Amino acid sequence: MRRLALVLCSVALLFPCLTTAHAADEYAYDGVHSSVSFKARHLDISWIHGRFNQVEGKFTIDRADPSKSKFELKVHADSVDTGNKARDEHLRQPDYFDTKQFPFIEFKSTSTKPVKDGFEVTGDFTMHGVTKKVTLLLQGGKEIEFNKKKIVAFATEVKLKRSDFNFDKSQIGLIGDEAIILIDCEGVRN
Amino acid sequence: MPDPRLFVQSLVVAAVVSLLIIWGLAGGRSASAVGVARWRWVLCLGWVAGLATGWVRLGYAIPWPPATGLDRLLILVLPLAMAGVLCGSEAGRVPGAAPASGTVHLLRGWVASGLAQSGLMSLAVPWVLLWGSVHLTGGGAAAPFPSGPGCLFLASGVLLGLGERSLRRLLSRPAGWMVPGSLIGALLTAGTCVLLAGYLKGGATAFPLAGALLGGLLATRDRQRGEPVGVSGRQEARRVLVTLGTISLYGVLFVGAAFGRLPGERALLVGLAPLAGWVTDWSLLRRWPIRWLPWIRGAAIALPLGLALGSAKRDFDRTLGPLVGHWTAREQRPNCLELWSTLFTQTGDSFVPMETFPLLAAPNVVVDPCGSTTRLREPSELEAVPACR
Repeated sequence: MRRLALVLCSVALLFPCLTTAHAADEYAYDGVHSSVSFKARHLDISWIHGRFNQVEGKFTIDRADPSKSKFELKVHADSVDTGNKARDEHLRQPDYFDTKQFPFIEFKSTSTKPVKDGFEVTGDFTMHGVTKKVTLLLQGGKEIEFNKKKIVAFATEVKLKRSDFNFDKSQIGLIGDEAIILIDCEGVRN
Repeated sequence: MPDPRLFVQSLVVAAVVSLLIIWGLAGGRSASAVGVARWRWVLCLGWVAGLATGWVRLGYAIPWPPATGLDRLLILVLPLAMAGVLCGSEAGRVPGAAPASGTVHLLRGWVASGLAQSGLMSLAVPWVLLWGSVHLTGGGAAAPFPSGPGCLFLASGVLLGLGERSLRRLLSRPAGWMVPGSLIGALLTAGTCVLLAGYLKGGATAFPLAGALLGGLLATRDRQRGEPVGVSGRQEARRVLVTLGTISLYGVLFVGAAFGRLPGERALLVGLAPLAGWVTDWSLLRRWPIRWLPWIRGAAIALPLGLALGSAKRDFDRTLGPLVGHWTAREQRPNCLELWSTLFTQTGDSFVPMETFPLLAAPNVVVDPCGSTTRLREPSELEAVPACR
């Protein structure tokens, strides 16, 4: 009898906590209103721009405890598009992205902290078979409601060196070592 | 930008190093005087040293860990092929061993004949080269099965096994020395085709591979004439060269087609070209003087290689050439119909003689009807070439 009373008391004490616990909001990557693009130096005098047309992702935002927020992005390397078919084919080859061997470019967050106007997200960035820790400054995060859907958006850009990701060094020169990746994404939840 | 001189240098360096090491380890004796087992070791060591030196000359580091198909070719497939060459035949011959039972005897005979290595090669090499790629995984965890092209690539291992056995048999025919030579030519063609398809590192690898093979071929050239063709050190050395050469050729074409953009039919054309050497066994040609055989065989092998090179160059000019500034005036020259419509548009109903237009002399060079030549720097400059009126 005493045990039963103890259990009931415990449940009564825990119940308010359970009901007030804030569930994190999960958003699906909206491919229609998002883009992952990049630019790299050509002959060190100009920039070549390109984008990846096929991207998947999801992110979970915990407003109450932002450190529990998570971000994932999966880019299909084969969908590279620089506006020139021959160059795209070349970029898919092993001297560059090697898309048959490494079909995806991925980012998975490992820690998140809130900053002014967004989040500072550190995570594992995998490209060309090499994983490195990368910190992204995601700007945005404000949620709006449109057509009964809740939408949140982030923007960030990150500079990467191709040589850090085991790209063929003999191919660095014509196209610069450093590439800037620009991510503008919207997430949607019902 | 790829430097063709670098490729030639890596070929020469690999050949010289391989030749010197083989000569050094063979103790300066003539090819036929060195024992069979010793030849295998000497050749493999010389070949590896030549390949490594040529590879370093290209400016590449040791590909460790082997993440790509090309890395696995260099780090896993070729060393395993050498291990097969060194150990496979020995396993079948156990000196002083007691008479074996029927099954063991059969197994030993199978291993000694080299069929075991060929069979294992056919099965294992494509798997190793494709490991972890979309060809085997189907592009994701959702479909962890080989894709359609993946199945074809796996099946291509049969061609490797059969081709190697066939070329080893061709060695015992007259002018058998041409077999390693044809493999060198096919390797260089394969490398150039892969390069022109846009996979520079994959294509460049063929040059030190061919160079190391060339060093081995030169080292096995016997200085004593009149040696009967048969099981000798020289014959065994050439068998080793054929095995290593066939796997190298297969590997370069395989990574070029599976990971690069080398068309499958071109890879087949180059890969099967050395087998065209069998043409001299055709009953019609057997009656021809024996001194003609090398020429006929050479022509039969060179024809498909030339076709492959020509088509590779044509595709390069159409696709990748303009990206690196190698455009040609031929692409810019209008055909007859375009020329006629341009004339009509520009002049209304008046007729302009054809000879007022510049003609193509060579890539990037045009000749006007007065005979003066102009070298173009940009495609748009073609329009600015003055016409002789």
